[in-house]
Amino acid sequence: MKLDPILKREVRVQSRGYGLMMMVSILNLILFLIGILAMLAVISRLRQSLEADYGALLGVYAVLVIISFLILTLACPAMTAGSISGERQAKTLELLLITRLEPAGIVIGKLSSKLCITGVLILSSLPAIMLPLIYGGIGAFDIFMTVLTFFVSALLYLSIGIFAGSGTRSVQRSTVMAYALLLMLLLGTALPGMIMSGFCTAYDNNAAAMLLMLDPLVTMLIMISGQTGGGGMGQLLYEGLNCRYYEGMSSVYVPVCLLLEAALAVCFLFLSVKSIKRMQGH
Amino acid sequence: MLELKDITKFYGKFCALDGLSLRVEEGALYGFVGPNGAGKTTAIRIMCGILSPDSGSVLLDGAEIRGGDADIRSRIGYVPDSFGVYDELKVSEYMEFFASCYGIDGMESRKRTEKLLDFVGLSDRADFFVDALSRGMKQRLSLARALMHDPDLLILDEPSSGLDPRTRYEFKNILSELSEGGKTIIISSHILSDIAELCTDIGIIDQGSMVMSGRLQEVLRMVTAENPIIIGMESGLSNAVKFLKAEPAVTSMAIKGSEIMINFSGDRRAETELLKRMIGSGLGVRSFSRERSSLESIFMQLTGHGEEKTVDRFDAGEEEP
Repeated sequence: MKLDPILKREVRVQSRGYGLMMMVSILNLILFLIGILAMLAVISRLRQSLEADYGALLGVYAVLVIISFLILTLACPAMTAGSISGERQAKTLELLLITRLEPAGIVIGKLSSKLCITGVLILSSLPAIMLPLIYGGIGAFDIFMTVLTFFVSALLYLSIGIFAGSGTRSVQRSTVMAYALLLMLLLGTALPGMIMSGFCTAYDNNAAAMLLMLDPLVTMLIMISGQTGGGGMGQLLYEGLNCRYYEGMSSVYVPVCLLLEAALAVCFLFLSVKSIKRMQGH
Repeated sequence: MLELKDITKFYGKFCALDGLSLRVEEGALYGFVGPNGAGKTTAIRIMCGILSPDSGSVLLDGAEIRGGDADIRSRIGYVPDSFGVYDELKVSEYMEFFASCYGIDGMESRKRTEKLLDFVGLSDRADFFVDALSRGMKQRLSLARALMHDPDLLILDEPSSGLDPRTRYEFKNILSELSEGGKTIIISSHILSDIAELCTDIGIIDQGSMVMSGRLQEVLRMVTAENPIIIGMESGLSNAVKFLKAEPAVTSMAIKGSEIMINFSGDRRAETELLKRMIGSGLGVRSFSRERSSLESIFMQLTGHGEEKTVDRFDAGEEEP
């Protein structure tokens, strides 16, 4: 099987260092520590009260998913922010552009190599996340949706990083730009809703609800709310912004949001290719 | 083989290339010369298709390079002025990576890597990290990379800058070998002695425009034809001056020691006739030749940073009216 040259090179370089191993170890150590401590707390409460609170175990699952997601959110843009700008800074981008590779091929190569690393992170964190599930409560489909949500969000974050690096000549500048774009995506989609909520009656803030569909963090909160049964943080957030939250909305809402996020990621990648071509003057 | 037609490139309001045109024939070793900021690197990046001109066209055997497909691009090998190497890869991995970028994989890639590393004298460094190579070695590796896909046209931007004399000599030999092997090569360089020794053709660029181009020997001959004639006298200097003053084709004259320098408007035949008449008149002519031009003197003359060296050789006070 012929591997993409950029993917092959990146994987080779990644596997040579200790970076990936360290990332996987640290992520899982954090998740296992939190998971085990939270489980111990739930079990000791169970021993004292003699009441089985499955909701608390699902709460532990929710916390682990959120922490894992936040780590992913923080790590992904940094992974790709320097991928194109770093090539430009090292003066290797023009060497790639004179080969048979097209700008789109370079972008896809960079993205796929980082998606592989992200995949390792996501899949390796699954045992820690599923720790509370030894008592049941979450099904295989829920786990599949969690992994899918992680992957689609990672795709969006990585695409943001690539886009930020495609138009700049320095890695530092592209990293700052990637996090600024991420902040705009996570908070910028909620901020107009917060402002508009002051002018809306309860459950009437439809524009805010539409904007929130582009926010991967909100998508993930709604997904967890659906999986754990209670409204949880998703309901709190929605109702706080005067948006309508209803039971079972996650089954439709999450797939639609994931499609929108994937489309947004494709837009960022398309703009990255355009940006590389524009810098060449094409 | 390669033709640039009326290329213009602006960076904001700054005009880097102003209607640049040049033609490089197949098999030529073309020296691209110009002062700093003349637009050489911009022109070279445009030739390689990694930068687009604002106007004009770049043709490789009649096919437009600008926005061209991979087949056109893969006929060009490019060695930039910066090394552009991946420090975290080993030398052989670096070569194999670029081989795969050209669609060459597996055994073929390894074979070519071995052959090229041997050609540039780096086969004993195949397992070294690129980071550990010296500047000269990195430059040779860069050349080996550019040859990986066996391109018809090799473009090198300042390949000798920063190299020590020995590495420069070795690099020059490699380029000569490639040229003898039939590759068309374009080199931009500040080191005019290298260009003069290596190149068959030359283009001198200044302020984004071509000021002179052609076969190197023709350019040298053309400029030499406008140089003064220096006549060395064994005896009869004053008689020779009188004789030359009477010659209508002699436009000006200067004397230094036993040498007379004349500006002569005649052609080569007239030069021969003048020499014959001088000898026939019994003047003791020891030597008679046009002052030779070096590439450096042409470069300085054309790019407007030089002085008329031929005049400097004579004291102004001794110049005849």
